[in-house]
Amino acid sequence: MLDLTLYYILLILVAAFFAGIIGSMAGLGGGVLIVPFLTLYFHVPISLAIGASIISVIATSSGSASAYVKDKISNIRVGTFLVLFTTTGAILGAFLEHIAPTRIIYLVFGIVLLISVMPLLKKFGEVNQPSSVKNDPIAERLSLNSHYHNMELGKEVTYNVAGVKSGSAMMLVAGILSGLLGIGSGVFKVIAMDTFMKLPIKVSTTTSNFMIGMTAAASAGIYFFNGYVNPYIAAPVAIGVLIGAVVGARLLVKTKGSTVRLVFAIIIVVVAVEMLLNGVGIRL
Amino acid sequence: MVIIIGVVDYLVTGSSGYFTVPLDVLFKSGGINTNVFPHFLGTISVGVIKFRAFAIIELGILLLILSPIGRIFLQILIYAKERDRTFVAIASVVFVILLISLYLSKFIA
Repeated sequence: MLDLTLYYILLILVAAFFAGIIGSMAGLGGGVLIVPFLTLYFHVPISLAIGASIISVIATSSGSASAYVKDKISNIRVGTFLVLFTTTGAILGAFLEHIAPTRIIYLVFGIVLLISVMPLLKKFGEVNQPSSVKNDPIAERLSLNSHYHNMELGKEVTYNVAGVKSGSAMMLVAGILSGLLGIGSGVFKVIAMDTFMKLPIKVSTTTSNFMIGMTAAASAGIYFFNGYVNPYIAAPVAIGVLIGAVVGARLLVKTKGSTVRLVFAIIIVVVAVEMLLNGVGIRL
Repeated sequence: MVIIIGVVDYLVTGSSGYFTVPLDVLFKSGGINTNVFPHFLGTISVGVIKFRAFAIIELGILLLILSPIGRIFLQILIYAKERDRTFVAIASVVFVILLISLYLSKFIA
């Protein structure tokens, strides 16, 4: 019997490794990939799968964040400022749990996600931020604008930060979603930074990686102390995702911005479909 | 790292140190209550002292959960060193929010 368990653990480890790579590149926790894998393939109960997903989010964040901070791609000032809204939202979400049926929440946000793919794809070929983007007054005061080394162009690229208010509002919503649905909501964070705040795509995904760990930590305790974090599943997920995230972080530095955008767009569609299915009562 | 020590302990001793059901049985039963593993500070620390595999793994996972809180604390120190008062304040609020949420999570079942 132990052998079969070992075989399952190895499978989860491998799956977690790939979730870590994709998660760290796309700025999300890989929960969107881990949960359907565990529930569809292994028929893991959803509560345990979400417990594993939360661990996956934190592991992605921890595994990739150190690399991105060193490479100076992620904007820690933007991340610290926005985390204020996501963590507040996460606590609010935990209290709001019974305000609306989760099915309706899933349907609404599934549709929102599908719509948000459009502006993302429109900017597909865009390597850099257009020079027309002006710094938001709040960004000016907090000096959020920054620069990063762009491998494609082989030079430093400076960028401004726009739409701080709308971006922050979106982060609050993302945080509430995290608390409500037990997801990392990295997808919404990247959309907020990419579409509203006009940050370069790599800066958006890496800064999201910095943030998701903290947002998830705000609700992780609930799952942990209730015993939803089963060592059999959580240990291979944590180790696999950590290694995958480190590998993904190395890959991202060398990957084209447009490729990152494509990976992210595909993930959005996957998440949107998952959410819509959940909304009509089909649990993946 | 701590998780790996726990996994190695599990593989070497071939036992989780707790009454646990093999994964395939767990999946078929579809329940979580068939598996007993420590998930409170008290039971974990007792298990770690006795070198029980699953207690060590859970300790590692708990440390992983705490690591973002450690990171924001580090960020406070960095901003303090840069004498950036606005960001010391922002990071401190985030730190407090995370501590509150961890404290509250004990009461939400």
